Amino acid sequence: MTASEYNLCVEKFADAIYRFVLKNIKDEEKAKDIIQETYEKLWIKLSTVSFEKSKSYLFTTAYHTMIDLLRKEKRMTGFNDSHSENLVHLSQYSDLNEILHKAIDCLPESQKAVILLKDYEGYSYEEISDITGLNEAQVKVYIYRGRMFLKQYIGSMESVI
Amino acid sequence: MINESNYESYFLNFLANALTDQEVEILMAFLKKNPELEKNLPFLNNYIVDSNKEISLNKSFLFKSLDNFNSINEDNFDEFCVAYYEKDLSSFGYEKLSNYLKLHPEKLAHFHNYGKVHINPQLDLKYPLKRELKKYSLSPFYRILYISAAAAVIFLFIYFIPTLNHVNNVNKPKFVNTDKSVSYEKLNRKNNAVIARNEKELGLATINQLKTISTNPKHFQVKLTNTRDSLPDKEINIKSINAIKINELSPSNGNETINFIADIEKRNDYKNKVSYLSFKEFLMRKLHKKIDPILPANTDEHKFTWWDLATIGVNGINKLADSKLKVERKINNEGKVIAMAFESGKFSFTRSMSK
Repeated sequence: MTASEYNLCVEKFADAIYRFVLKNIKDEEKAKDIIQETYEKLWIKLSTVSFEKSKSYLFTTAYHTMIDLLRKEKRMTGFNDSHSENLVHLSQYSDLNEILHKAIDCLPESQKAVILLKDYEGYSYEEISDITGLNEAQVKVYIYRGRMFLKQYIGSMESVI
Repeated sequence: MINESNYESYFLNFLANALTDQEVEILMAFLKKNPELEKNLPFLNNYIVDSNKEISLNKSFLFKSLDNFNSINEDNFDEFCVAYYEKDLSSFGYEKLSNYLKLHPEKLAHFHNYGKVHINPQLDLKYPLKRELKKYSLSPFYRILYISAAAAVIFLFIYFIPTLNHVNNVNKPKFVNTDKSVSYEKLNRKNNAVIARNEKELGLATINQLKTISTNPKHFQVKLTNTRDSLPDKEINIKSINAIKINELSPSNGNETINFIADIEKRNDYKNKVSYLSFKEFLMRKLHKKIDPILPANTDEHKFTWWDLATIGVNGINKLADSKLKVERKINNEGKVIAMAFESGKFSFTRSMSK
């Protein structure tokens, strides 16, 4: 990959990766750091990564960097209370998309990541499998479980609203 | 020894991965001789024995697709719905789902709910630091161009610092009558030559041109040149003599004194009288001190050649870009450059300079 192709990667994919990471970790500064680190890694491997595979490489690197960060933080706090917010403030949401975005935050990290990759980027099971390191069957299962949860979530929300 | 009466135990041990490599080889040889037994053991086909005698389970037979379901029911309906919206349903599965929904219209709302759980990205969310991520690398040509330009700016900066710092320096050369004020000098006319004498500054000078500049014979335009051996012409910089006003010109009688109007500039004597350097020498010396680390060896303190400038430029680029460029020249006995060589870390070339 050339330097100009690298810059094209920044132009084309930085927003998408940022959205994906930010949606997963809900922290702008950390998301920016992850994007920066991801692109640094790409720059270092410029000669070995082709432009065609750059998007996949970027998502894979961002995903793993993000997971590493989340694991490290979990070890430090020892407690993740994201699930405790489940269905607490339901009545304040009226827009379905808003509800879904809230609902997805309640999913486990792996399910959230695969669903976001599927919905945000339209990746296939195989591509998600390559990015996350899960096998295709696991990806399918996570998506199925995630969808089930989301459907139940919006079902309960609609009944509340 | 494996035979038709004990092969089952071999199979069981094989499945339990309890056979030695040798026993596996015996088992495989036995199966080759008795292929009908292999057909009776479908599970065996799910094991792969590679050339390294490593056995692994082929799990593909364990996977089920939705097409394996004969019908849709309460238990697998959700799977069909998810697969439909994930575009993962075969035409066969799609047909089954359609039929099921026709038969169970009350499930339609449930089915449609799965269509709602796809999340749209927030496209207005942009990464704000893209510019910082980008890398701007220059082609070698532009890199050298920019570095040279930077080097030139630095060079000029260094060059002009002494000028800026010494505008009012006492070492500034002194000029005489540079303000174009009129000065009156005396001329002596002798025979057909008019001898000018600048009693204060110039010493003797000869008027070598005498020209009538008006009908009034008392006005002449003249040009002076120095005749003193000790002072070359160029060192007496007579800017101009506008006119000679001959006040007391009478027919030539050998000697007469006339006044003339002249602007006279004298810029030579300071060197002899005071041990000042010339302006250029002063700058050169300053410059040499400033850029001594990147100067080529044996550079004349009072002047720069193009070679010196090239070497300075290359040394400057090396400092800025951490490169190892070199420009060298070969000089013959007469001191003439006969060849030049350029060398970088990656390539080098030599060029003859002789015609």
